[in-house]
Amino acid sequence: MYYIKKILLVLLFSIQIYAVNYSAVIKGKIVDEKGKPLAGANILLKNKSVGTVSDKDGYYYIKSREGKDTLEITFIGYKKITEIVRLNNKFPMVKNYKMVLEYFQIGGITVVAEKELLQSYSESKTIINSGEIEHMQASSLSDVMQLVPGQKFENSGLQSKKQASIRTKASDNAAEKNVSFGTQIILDGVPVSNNANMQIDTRTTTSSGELLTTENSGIDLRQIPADNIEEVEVIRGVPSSKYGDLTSGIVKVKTKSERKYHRMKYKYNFKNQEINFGGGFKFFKQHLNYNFNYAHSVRDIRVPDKNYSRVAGQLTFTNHLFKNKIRMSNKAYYTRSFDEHGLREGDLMLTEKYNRDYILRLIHNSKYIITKNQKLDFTYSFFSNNQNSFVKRLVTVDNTYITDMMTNGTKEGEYIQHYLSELNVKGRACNSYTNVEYTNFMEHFLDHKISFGMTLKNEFNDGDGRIYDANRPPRINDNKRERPRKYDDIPALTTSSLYFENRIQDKNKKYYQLNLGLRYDSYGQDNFFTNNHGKFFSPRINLSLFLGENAQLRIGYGETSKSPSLSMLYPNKLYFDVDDINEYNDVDSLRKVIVSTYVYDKRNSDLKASKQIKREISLDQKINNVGLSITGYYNNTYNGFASSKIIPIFQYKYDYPNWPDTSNKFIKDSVFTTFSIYENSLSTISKGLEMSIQTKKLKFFDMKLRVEAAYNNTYSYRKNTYEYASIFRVDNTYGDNIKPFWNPINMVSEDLIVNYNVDFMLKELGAWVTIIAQQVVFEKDWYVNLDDSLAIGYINDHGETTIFSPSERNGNIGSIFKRVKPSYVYEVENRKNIWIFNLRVSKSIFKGSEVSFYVNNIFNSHPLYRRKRTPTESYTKENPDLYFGIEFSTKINELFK
Amino acid sequence: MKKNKKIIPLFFIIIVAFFSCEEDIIKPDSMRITLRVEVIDTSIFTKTLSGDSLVSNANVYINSISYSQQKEALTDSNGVAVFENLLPDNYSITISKNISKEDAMKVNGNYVRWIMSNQIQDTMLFDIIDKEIEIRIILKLIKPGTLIFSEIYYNGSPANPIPYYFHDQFTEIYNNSSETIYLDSLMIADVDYGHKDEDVIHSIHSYMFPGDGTTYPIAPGEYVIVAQDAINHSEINPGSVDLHNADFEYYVKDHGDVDNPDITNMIQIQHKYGIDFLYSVMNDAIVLMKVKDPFALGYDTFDCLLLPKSAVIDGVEYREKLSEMDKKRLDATIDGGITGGLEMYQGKSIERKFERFEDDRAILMDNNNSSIDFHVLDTATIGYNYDVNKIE
Repeated sequence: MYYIKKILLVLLFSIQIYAVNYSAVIKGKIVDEKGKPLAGANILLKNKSVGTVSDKDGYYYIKSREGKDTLEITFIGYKKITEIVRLNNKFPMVKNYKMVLEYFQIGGITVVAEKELLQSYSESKTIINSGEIEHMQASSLSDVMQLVPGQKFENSGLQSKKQASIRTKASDNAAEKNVSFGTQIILDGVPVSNNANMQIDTRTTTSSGELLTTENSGIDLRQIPADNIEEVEVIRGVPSSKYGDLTSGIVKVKTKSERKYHRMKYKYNFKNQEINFGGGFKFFKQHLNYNFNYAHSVRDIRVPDKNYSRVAGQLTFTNHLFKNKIRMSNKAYYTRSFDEHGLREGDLMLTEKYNRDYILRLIHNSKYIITKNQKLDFTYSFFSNNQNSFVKRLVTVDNTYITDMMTNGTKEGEYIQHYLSELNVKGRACNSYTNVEYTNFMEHFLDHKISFGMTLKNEFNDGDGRIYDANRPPRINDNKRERPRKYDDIPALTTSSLYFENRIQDKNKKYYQLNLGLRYDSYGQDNFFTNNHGKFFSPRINLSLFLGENAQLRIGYGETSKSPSLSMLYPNKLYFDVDDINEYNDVDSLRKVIVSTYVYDKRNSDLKASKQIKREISLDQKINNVGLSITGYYNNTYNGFASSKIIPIFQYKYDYPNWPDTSNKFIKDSVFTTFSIYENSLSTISKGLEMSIQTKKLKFFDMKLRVEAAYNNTYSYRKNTYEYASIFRVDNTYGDNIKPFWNPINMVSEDLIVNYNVDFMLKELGAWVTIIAQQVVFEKDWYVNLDDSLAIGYINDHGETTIFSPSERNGNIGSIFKRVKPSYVYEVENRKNIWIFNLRVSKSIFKGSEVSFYVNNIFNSHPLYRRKRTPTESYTKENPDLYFGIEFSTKINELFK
Repeated sequence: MKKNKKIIPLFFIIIVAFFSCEEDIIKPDSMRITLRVEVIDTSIFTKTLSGDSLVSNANVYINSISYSQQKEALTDSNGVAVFENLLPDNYSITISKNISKEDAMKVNGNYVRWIMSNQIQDTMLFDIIDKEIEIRIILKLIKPGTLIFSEIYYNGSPANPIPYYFHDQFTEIYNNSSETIYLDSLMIADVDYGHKDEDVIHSIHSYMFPGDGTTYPIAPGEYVIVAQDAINHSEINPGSVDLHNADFEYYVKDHGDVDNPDITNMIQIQHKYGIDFLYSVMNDAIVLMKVKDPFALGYDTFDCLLLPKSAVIDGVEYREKLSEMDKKRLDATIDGGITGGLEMYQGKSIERKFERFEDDRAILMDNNNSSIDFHVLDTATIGYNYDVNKIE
């Protein structure tokens, strides 16, 4: 009722505006940083809703009523000024203001003139604006990630799949996958999850230049074009309790939504070409924005049909209803990507491959302002990704047998040696996401911003699955084979979450700000609020203590959890094909091969979500024009995913004297092997120190300096799991086939990467020149636990596991149970002091148009590094190639003016 | 506009960065050298036969490592062989002399085959002043190999029509001695790359001949064929070999391999990976050995089986690039050289050279140096098909 009264009062007053004769005056002059008068600035007395515009000499004059009011001065590109003024009837108030440049345009690029030296948010994050993205000529979100401290420099482009990783340096393949899997990408408020990606096993060889799919790890960042991004926020610290299903961190992408111009852009470098067309209209407080992007990238300019193309479109419709009380936005995204590898002349394997994705995303968001202090936010989205991976190639194997038995059973097989195989993996990864959040601002001694929310996420894959001729499989290895498979029986993965957050600060935000959050996630199957894969209560706390005006201390603690993916939960089954009778003959009719098939399901129903605990502490200090910030963090990840659980197989081999009658079969031999399934065995301790020094524009040199140093130490280790010998070993004393296992050997990686940024932002010239030097001060990794050389136990050829007692283990166990690593394995790999210099230039050519040019690795420096953990000499070439590219953009509206 | 000046030096640097220099390599023709190899034998043989220790009529082979060139010469009556016009390089020098039956009878009174030989590996021959280098080598008396690899076809067939067809690999073992030898429980093993142990080899695959000690005899001058798959490969890939009559085959149990029931299977001792015992089509070393207990030394950390070097009867190392002497797997006690030099999938083969006849039986060259002992055949040939007219 109080509020309604207040609104009524305001309304009454505004009616009076026209009736009352004003006699209080405020006047003055508005100038820019250099003292030149600013014409056209908006000056508003907010409470009385009276305002004016400064004249050509910068003067303004407003008549109003006596009393307290808020003066607000705005001018495009300048920082907003607000001040509380007390007008009286007796004397005209004179107020002169100097406005500070906030951003300016270089052609179509919006350049943020100054970043704040003292960050205003309590968690560690990097905010990257559209200007920086355009200046570096990013093609996709992955290139943008280069601007985050601690990332090793790479040339931008779309040639190969790219994933994100935050604050963890993993040299182990499984650990690396966990890092990118645990990095959540949020597109306009909705997570783009990779949980339903089922493009398993689509690779043909292990060569690096291959088209790769990203199942069990993070999404391929190439699918998000950089040109329509307004802002990217990379949260490295403790995120708000609004965010779940993550471990490493968050990359929040906000696309452009309320533009009023039309802009065309063209990018070119040796391997990439990209055209972008975007803009928007405004009519009756409604915005319609569009963006169209086409990019084409060749992996190797010498080889035809080996390329990546992307067509991406976006439509955004936002409207403000009932005097901004309801703000609704509807967004549609469409991405079609073609990662192609055509038939190469001279390729004897006749390899043809592609990964074609067809992505459709729909997001609806509405924000209701219930009262001045209460808000309701509702989001619903549906994402679908039709993934189609195709591999056609000649399979040449050793002469072997094959069967197409789909269940347990025995059947006559056939001999094969080579054939043309065609594999299609068709997945349709979908997720629906619903979020409701209620926010209330309250004043109770302190300022509270209280939010409650609920998120429901349902992820499934109902694609056609793996399609191929069962007698012509995409590859044959050993007698552990695979079969075609449909994805129609895979249950949906559900994530149900509730969260609460209170952002508390003292009045005027003078002493502290405290964010308290609590989140509940339950990861289940098919229905919401089931918890087959775990339930988690995750507290999140961020505290900022303001130590005077120029210094602050920030402390954060938080827990996060990440669900396993469908492809970890429901991997392809294993078909163990045993050759009971194997009699090859050069004469077809005399051949006889009888194969028994045993089907093993590789799913692990015990698989739970993984968890990370984050702790960080930061100190920010501002000294005149220099901002200094130091952050220390210590993160533990538990129960990460790795395919490390070993399951033994033991089967008998039979003879069938009266084949095809199997009734008289008798055991003639046995066969044994092992396979692995996913388990929660991977843990990581990631600790580090981040330091940044940045200056405001230095007066004499017209430049800004920014130095960012990031040190990280990551220790990845496996828990409750063992490292097995790759073969069954034979021993004199045991005489058996034995597969010993040991405690795993783990790895520590450590690096210190320093970025030196020098920015010349010359507004008058319309130029922006950036010199970036990156120094890898060191990049090390080494093994730990190498001396733990005695086996824990063994599996025998009947599939039985024996664990040694401590006395047995330390006693006289045979040499096959010892794991002695050669001395070079103890070496530390250490790349030291590797520098790379890059240059970026953007220059306006006429109003609304600019060109940008960049050169990476200007000095073409490629230091050789001699690897240490190799038995013989081997070298690697450091640093990406010398590379350059150019871009042109123009605002179409400005062209015809 | 004055601010542009700051950018100019940078562009200058970029331009400079585009130009790089390359030095012309001067051909070292002017630096050719002469090598004199003096061969000495301190044993009773030479002293008894010629009164001094200078060895005449010994074969001296020198092998230039970077240029893969081979030269040979006989020592004169002063025991000296001279090589002129050599390019400075790293060379391996191998000397061998057969002791003839008559000479052996003269000295010992009875005949046991002996060879006098020695080799120097990877020695740098370079002299800028005198341009003449003298090396003195003292010979050792060794017993020549009895069972040896006479041919190893590892190269794989050309794509006709199937690419990368290597399942037709085979190994031919020859009895170079004058007595019947039994193959029973001998082993064929490959040697993993990158280990520098003194007395063990690391084996990825090892297979043993079956038999109870006298089951599989091999007479002097006879051979056996061990096939990867004992089938007629020319039916699958025309131009390949027919191995359906091989003596033995590697059947890899429970890894998906096919089995020709008519051919004796080798016994699997060690099999780390693969559907078959594949010899690398590029670089590998294959050894024949007699080990009492192959599991006695256990395994290394990479699950390779450790086998004693002392048990090796014969070994051959081949590489795609003959100059890569630094990447050798076998030391000079087994094989001091490398053979091959073949691109993959040419259908070519490596075969031991013919040395001489003894009692109508071909004796094949065995200097423990495959650079000298082996030559390349354009096609794989089953059996030792020496052509008397072409004998070198």
